[in-house]
Amino acid sequence: MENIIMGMSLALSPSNLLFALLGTLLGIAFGAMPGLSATMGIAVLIPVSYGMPPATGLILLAGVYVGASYGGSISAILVNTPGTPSAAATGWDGHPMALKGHATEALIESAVASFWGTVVGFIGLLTIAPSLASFSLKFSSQENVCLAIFGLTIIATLSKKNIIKGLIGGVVGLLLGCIGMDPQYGYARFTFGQMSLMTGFPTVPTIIGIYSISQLLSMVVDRDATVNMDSSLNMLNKYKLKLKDLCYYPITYLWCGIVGMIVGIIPAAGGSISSFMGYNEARRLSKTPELFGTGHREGVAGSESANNALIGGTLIPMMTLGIPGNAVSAVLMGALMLHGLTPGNDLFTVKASITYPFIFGILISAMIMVIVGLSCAKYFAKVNKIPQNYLAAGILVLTVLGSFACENSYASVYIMLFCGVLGYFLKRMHIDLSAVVLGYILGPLAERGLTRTFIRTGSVAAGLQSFVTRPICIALLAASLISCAYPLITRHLDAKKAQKGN
Amino acid sequence: MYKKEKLGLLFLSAFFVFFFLVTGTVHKDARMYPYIVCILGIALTSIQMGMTISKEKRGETLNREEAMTKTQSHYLIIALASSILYVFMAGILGFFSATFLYVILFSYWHTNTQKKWMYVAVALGMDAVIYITFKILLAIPLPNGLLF
Repeated sequence: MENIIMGMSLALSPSNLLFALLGTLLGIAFGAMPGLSATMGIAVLIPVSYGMPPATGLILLAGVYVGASYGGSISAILVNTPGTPSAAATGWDGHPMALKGHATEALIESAVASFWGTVVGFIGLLTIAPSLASFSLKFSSQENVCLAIFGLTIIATLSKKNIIKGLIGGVVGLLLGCIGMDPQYGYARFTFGQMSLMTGFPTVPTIIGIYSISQLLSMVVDRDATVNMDSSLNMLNKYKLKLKDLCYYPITYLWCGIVGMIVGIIPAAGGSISSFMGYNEARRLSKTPELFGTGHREGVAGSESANNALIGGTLIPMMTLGIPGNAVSAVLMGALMLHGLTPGNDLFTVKASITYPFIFGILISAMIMVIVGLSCAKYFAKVNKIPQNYLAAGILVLTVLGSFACENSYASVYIMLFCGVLGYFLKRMHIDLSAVVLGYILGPLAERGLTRTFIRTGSVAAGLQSFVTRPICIALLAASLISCAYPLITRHLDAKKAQKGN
Repeated sequence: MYKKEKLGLLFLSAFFVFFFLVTGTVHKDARMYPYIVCILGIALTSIQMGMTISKEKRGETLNREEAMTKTQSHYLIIALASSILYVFMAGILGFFSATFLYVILFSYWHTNTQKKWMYVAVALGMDAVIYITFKILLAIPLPNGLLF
């Protein structure tokens, strides 16, 4: 308790508040730009933080992490180009909301949901870190496969109109994930002699290509279709913030936040998975699940609260066991070590005067983020007023820049363009691009887990048997079956209702 | 519309068959997973093709979307070609020079109803913002070339 009070009072000092503000603003900027990310932002600022007192430096970096987790949703909502991979699911409802003229509302919801998600993750980090960290140790290769399968079943929920096409999209994504070295033995696959493909399709250029280049091509091809945006644009500045906006979907924030935090605890699961799962859970809990995907505010709430709760979740195994939950926490771990902090029990005892202000820095950054998000939402939304010709050119320039900056290589840019063409073709076939991204992200996780399982158990049969003897696997497989069956059952019931009505 | 749908599914099947065949050249220890994925892909596209053919026989409407017109195909080809050319030229002329030229030419081609100085001003503004943000503040390396 003393450490908590001490941490809070240190975090609220004027210099720490200033650096929390700076870090959050920088983080939002990094997150909003496709190709830049929290990882890059933290990596760029580590040398800057080195000259500061450790607690202050770490608070700056915490601000970047929190800001970037929210910032990715800004470009996802406004131009359907997720600024960070974890914002991919936010665009599924956020961008349709923007197209209907509710961009301000979507941005407000994104800021609020991000805040509440961060709070859930913060509470988890502060209170139950050790016991949750030991839960993460129970996750072996089998559990990772089942987690990936559960994530892939979201495809069934997303592609309610045509599940077969959704699955085709998912399989295309799985195939994209196969390119490069296989995760177990390192043998090259589908590289066609190109060294640049040995590490596979890099995540950020691939997702940027699938979403934003395909969107750009649609903007160019369909430009003669006169869509009257005037009424939508007039609605932009008319949205007035209400008190209810500060907590529109409390159950969604809480449940999706818990899901996001738990996903964050599992090493290598990644931010993208948490936002997809958050979206799926929000849809399951919703009284109007049929509205998801059409521009429903609750879709934004689910994905954003999950992907921000991830922050606390990823820091739990990183700070207690030295196992980073994702790339960002891996870079943060480097920053911790640079400031003389070693993950483990000492962090919460001997070095409590640095650790607890850092943890409270996350909460303060979340408050700054929500204030910035709420007050600037209508200004961010003005991006929709930019003429389409400049917007299209700007999107291409920024995506090329972002893809190049990822790996300092033209190969990433050409990969982005290829994925864009593929994404556009799949879009014309009415195949959901979200399914492709899900397959691409979860495929390698599933393959790695599957191969390791078969090696460890000695045979395919023994490996498959091990999936049904482990309790966490059974729970995840059951959840997958429910997730798959649920849209089919609801579709069947809806058809029956419609028949009775006739 | 059925023709377009069937052609698309045929292309996807060919895509999966191609990768299935290429998987045979991969080391045997790394083949299992891509084989499973390709077989799944071929199976799913075949099922969808079957469903499409049966819908066509029943005379059901497929999608309300119109097929791409010739003009739209031209737009698509020009957009793609210009993007590839822009990336290629960024390496030769330099990022900022290529961006300046690309933004002017592309935005003018897309909508040529605005004042001419606007195209130049927007291109210059974009270059300036990117230069200040990426080169100066963030020190992120950008493609160099003969010019700027």
